Amino acid sequence: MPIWSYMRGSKMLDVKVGYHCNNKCIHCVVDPVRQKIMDNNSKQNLNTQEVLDLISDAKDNGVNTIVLTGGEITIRKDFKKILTHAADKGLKVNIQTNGRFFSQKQHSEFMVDLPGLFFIIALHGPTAQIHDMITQEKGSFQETVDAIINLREINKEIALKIVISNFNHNNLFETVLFAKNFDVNEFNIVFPHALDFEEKLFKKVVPKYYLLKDEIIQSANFSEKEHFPISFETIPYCICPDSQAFWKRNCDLLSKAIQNTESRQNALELEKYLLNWNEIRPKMKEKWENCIKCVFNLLCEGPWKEYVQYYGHAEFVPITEDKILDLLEEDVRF
Amino acid sequence: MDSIEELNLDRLEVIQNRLSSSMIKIARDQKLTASDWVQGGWSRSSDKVDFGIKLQELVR
Repeated sequence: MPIWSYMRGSKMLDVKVGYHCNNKCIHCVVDPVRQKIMDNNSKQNLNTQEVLDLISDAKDNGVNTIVLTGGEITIRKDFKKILTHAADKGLKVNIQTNGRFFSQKQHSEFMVDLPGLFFIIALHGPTAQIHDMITQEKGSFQETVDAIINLREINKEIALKIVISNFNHNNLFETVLFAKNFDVNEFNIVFPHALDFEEKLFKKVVPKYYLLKDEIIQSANFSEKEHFPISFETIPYCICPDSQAFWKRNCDLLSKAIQNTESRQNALELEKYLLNWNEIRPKMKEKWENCIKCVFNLLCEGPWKEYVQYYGHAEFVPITEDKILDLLEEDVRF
Repeated sequence: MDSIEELNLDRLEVIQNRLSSSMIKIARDQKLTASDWVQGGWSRSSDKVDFGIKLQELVR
């Protein structure tokens, strides 16, 4: 079994095909890992047959959705073969991509009649100036935008994803407004997981949470008003202690809402190298004594451990009962 | 903010549980299924996640 794969949920399998990418995003943790792999003379990418076998094995074991991720899977010469293989197996396929490959229309033509595809495209700002600065690839913004347009033209479903950093945290809402123009299905705002970053790089890239409050509230209110699905990943509830619109769109909550509705049993869970992301993720986050006092304690996973290591936890203040009274049934309001 | 000793922990437990149930119901009613795909992505791309031995340590 290839080691670059693991399970996310009971019927969803992540397939990490390798580490090569044509962007060099400043917040990305793939590159340091790739460097380590190169230093160890280890393999950076699965070969075609390994990926195809993994997909077939997943299907045979009851998986119904695979997530193709990397690195950037679309720069592989076998991308079309991999995607077609998965679709032919009847699998739903989520493709995590920077989208640049699809900026040329002919690159998406083979997918016109492929069912079950869902694209998760990284858009890190509302302008070329911001996006290209983050990707460190001039012209990448325009290619990504062209890709979004091309994929929508062939009716493919898209979620756009922005990774927050010190280079775009003042432009989150502007990016939401920009994204809405493309009639995409969803927008996801993600706090960076700067695992293994040296302190200097961490502080250069990762903003403090309190700086995000206004942008988050604006985005959440817009989502509610315009019925445009937006979700917030790894942003504790207490960052916006008065915003129900934000709380309702918190990925910690959405994960729990989904977890409780599906069986987690699956034959693939017995594989040595497959682990459930829903179980691993909380172990990579931090909670502390004050969290016990917060009404959201059971729903909140806390920030990434690295955040607390470098910035502490003084800004996280427990949300008190008086803030959530209208969310409770009458019999506990005393 | 009260110290842990001064809190009514029984009351807090009831509130936390009730709020959790209420919020999960709201989330399901919203039909926002984003966490099907959003949790992780590139953020998981670390050897601590990708390689077996360290992963086993994590889940122990």
